[in-house]
Amino acid sequence: MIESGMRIAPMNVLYKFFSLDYFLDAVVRNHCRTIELWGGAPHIDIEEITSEEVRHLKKRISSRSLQVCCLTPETGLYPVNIASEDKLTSKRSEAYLMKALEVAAELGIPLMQVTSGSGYDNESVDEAWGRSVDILGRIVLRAEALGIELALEPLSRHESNLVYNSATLGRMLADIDSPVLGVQLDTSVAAAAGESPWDYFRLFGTRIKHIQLIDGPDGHLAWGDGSLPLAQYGAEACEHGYTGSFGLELFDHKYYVEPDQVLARSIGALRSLDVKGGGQA
Amino acid sequence: MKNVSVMNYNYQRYPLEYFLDSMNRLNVEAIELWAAEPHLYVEDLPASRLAQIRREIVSRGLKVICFTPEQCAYPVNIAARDERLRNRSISYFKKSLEVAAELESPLLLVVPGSGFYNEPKEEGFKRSAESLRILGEEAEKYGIHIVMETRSKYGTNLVNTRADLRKLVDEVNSPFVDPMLDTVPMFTEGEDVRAWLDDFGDRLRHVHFCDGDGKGGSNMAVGDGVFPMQQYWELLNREYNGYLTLELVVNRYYLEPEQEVQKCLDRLRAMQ
Repeated sequence: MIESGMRIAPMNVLYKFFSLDYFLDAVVRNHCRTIELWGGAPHIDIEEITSEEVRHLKKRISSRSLQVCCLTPETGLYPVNIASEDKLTSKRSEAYLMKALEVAAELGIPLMQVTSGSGYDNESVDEAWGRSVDILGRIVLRAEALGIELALEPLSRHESNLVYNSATLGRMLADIDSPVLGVQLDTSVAAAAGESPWDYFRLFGTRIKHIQLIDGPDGHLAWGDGSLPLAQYGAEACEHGYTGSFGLELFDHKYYVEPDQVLARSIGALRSLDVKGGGQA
Repeated sequence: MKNVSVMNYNYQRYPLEYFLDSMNRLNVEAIELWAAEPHLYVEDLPASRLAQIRREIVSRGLKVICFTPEQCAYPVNIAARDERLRNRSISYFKKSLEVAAELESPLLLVVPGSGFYNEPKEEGFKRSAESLRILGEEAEKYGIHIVMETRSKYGTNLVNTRADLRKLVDEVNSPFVDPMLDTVPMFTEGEDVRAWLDDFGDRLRHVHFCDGDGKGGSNMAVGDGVFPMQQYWELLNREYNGYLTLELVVNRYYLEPEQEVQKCLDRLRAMQ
């Protein structure tokens, strides 16, 4: 069993049509104690949030005895692209991630998700790659100074021509070459790229900092709504000694209307798994 | 086919100029400009880049028939309970009006936003109408019409049906804030083009002419879904004078965007 919800980390993106407090209460109702915090509207405005608001947010989380395993600032849907050739966009994107790091530090969150951004499909990958490496490198330095680790998540191929599978992810890790930068595994994105957690563990081992354990491959689905082998994935993670949390990054238009049911269903599926070694995340 | 316009949404893996060239190759003159990174994000758009974009459009003999800043994926919501988010959204659309005017677009697309799903619908509706009144006054100064579409219940709790849209149009009560039709949420709500034409008549200023899966999925290429597109096509060509935009939102249309639009155009020609 996954012990008392210690390792299951619901994520607030599922509750984007509800207030953040509503989400936090739902987490408590489901006997979970860890969350993955999505930085997006209307819950958290990374660009605008003030220190006072961050302090208030910290209280709202801690007063419910919750802890945050990972901050995931929205980048895919927002005008954020660290590999952009447009100077204003790349500057905005770097400032956005730097601010997100400050927010993570103030909230005491040990880990933040990052992505590579993307170049255009009809232009040289090398140049966009270089721009991504430059900015990621600076983010890594700042993270190191703040004592925060980073988890690089591959995007889907239709979103990016840079880091979109385990091979390109390995290349980026080699180019940045810092122990601060690890791997985030999203089981649905991996499956859509024809890969499984096993591929990731084989290649990256303990550099995997965070797992989003979700059904797919067509979307970020609640368990049972897709076709992925959840039990096998859970077992593979444990076999490899993964002690981190399992983020529930569930988003689908249909889920937003009734998130309570979707969350309960997914947590139920995870709890029915015989996953051992429940790390005290 | 002069009334068919094409949106750059599914060209987001390519530069804006590639999209504009593609329109020339496809003999399309009217474009609906989706304004988002990486093509043009109104918050990061210096005057020099805007002037350049204008030149790129004009020099290719193209015209912008509707300006559509990203507002579903981005943190934009004119009905938001959070005042900062709401104010920022209003200012985003004011900037968008400036850009639309510079690009000589007669229309600006604004979705009514959404309230929280656990608060009374009326409160979000009231905030949306207030924001739209402000934007309507601003639009009037430019002579630009704001067009509003419905969304399915998976995207908003405010304006899902044409009755909701009628109520909002009446509430805002501005000659510069008008209804438009998107065939996807229309179908999802069990409505049809006939009813929309009957309800809104000449006030219907714009149409997103899309196919769909009928299950609440996103906007698809004509002929890829289950909608009676031939029937919609004939009806709209007979009784509606504005543009019909091909808006391809599903991600499988991103990698070979020109091929996908070509496919739609071929299918529309076959319907003639």
